[in-house]
Amino acid sequence: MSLPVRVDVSVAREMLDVLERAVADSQTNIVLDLRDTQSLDSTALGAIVTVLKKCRAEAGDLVLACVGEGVKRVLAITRLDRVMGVYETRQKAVGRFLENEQP
Amino acid sequence: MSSAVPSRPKTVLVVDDTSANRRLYASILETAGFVVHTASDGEEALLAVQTSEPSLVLLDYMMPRLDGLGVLCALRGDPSTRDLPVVMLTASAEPDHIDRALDAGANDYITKPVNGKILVARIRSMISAYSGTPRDGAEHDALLADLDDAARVQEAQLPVVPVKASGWTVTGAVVPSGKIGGDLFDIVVESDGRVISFLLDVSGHGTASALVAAEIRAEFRNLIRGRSLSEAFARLNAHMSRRATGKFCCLAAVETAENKITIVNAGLPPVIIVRRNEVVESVWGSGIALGLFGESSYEETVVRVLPGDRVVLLSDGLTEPFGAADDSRAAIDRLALWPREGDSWEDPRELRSRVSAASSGSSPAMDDDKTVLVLSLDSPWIQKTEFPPTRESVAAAVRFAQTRCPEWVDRERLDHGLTEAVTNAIVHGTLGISSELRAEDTYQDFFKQKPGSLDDLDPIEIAIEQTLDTFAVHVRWANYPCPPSRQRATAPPPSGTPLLEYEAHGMGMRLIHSLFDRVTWDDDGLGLSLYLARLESAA
Repeated sequence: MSLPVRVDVSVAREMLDVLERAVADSQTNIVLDLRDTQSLDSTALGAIVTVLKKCRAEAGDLVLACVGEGVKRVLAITRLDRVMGVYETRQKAVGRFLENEQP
Repeated sequence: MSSAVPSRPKTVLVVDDTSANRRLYASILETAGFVVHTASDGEEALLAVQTSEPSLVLLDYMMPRLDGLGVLCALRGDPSTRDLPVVMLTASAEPDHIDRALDAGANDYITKPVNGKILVARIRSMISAYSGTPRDGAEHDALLADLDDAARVQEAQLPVVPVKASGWTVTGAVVPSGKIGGDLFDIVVESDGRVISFLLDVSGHGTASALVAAEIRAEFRNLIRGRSLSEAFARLNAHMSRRATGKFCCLAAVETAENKITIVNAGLPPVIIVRRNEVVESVWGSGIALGLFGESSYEETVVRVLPGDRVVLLSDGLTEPFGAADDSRAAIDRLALWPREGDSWEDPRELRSRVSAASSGSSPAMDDDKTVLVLSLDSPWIQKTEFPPTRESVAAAVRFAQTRCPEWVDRERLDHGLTEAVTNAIVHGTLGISSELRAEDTYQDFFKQKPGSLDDLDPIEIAIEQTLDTFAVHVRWANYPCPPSRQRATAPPPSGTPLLEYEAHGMGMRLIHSLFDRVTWDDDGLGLSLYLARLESAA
């Protein structure tokens, strides 16, 4: 899923709906592509963690890809970068799931 | 109860100087059920906003006459269109253009070529977020009155500042983005003198965040009693995770003591310690923001502080809209919080007005609750000694100075010097007959011999002042100035004289001048200041 330049309360609710529907449909390995996103507000962070926890409860995960400097700073000060996967590219993020699938 | 109102098609104003683009976007949006109006340049767009009253403007960046940025600024400067959602649309992916558009208040930015589904999804999302449910006038007025009332309650729940405790002055200000918000600060002064100041920022803003913030404040006040900061944070985190309100909280707390502070910062911009014109310490990332994961630990950071140091806590509403969520230093610039002579930073109204002014340059789309909490260590510390002084009270004065002196001061020098200073302050300064004091006399005995001189004497004040390079003890009394002739040091004994013999040469200025790096007298002869410079080995 790709997100806009600024992910704030105006986008977070829809993002949460889409992602929760995906989890309900058993799509529990999710890559959020933040290549266009320069900032995430607290509502958006809360939504991401809500979905992250639902994915992990189903043995899946949610990871972030193509994270820019502004978002990196927000993840660092909230320490979310310590508890969730953050990848430079979409390929590496997807690779995180492929690794798990290897026998 | 209001009846259901059927939703009407939303209107989008498409502004682009290329007719093919206008037709393309209009076609995509009309297919998706929107009513579309178009304009071919900026000036036409501003007129069309007035006539078509769109729910959203899709705005090209590069246009003749008035460009997209100019239109955006005009819309944001007009109260009637200040909150109108605007999505910038351009062929340029220049970061500079994106920054300018967002800074000017664009809600989103899409680069060409545009995927039709993405365009429709973002526009729907934006309109949905910014359009309220239609209400009749009475219901709307009642809701506003209710919010006004809630805002008054929230304001009243803040502590009355400035608070002065344990040598610290603490003040703060909150400016919510709406009528009420999810930011607040509080100051807890416990009966044993422990002082904890904290700032919290609940995710989102508005009523739900305000409710959660009030609960967290009460819970944290309860948890902090008798517990370390790290333990209180861990318990609060577990509590919030169990409650599952869907909100999380960024919280920073500072426990202040006389010469050190303990900080835990979970999720807020860096807590910074300012000394003169420098940031000497920056504390952040002590643990994960609270309420996100049930099991988390929190690390305490202990920082030694000097009188005059200032500690600043901020919510991200004062940093993030300006481009960097972690740039507390720039926020201090905007709030003019660098220490300076005669500053009225303690006044909460002044601080609040600085917070309001500091946010005026940010993008309206990024407006958030804004809070600042400032702590300043007062200088100097003062203790009044018992009068007339016994040997015990002089010793107590020395201990008072020693417990507050920095590690780089020679305590033996201080002990000798201060003991002499206190006795000389009393003897020279008050009676001027030190030669009459016999070695075996207690000061109490001595003053008993001069009962008439005691009635109008006040306690002696011992004050401590510390700068980066100097530690100073100021001794001051109320009456009987020391004459200038007695303030000067007499000739020192030969170099290499053992200290005890040196002392035996006579109590008084000679010893004080030899032990301290600098000795100065107040003009009125009622006080002296003794300075110790930083030891070279400790520098």
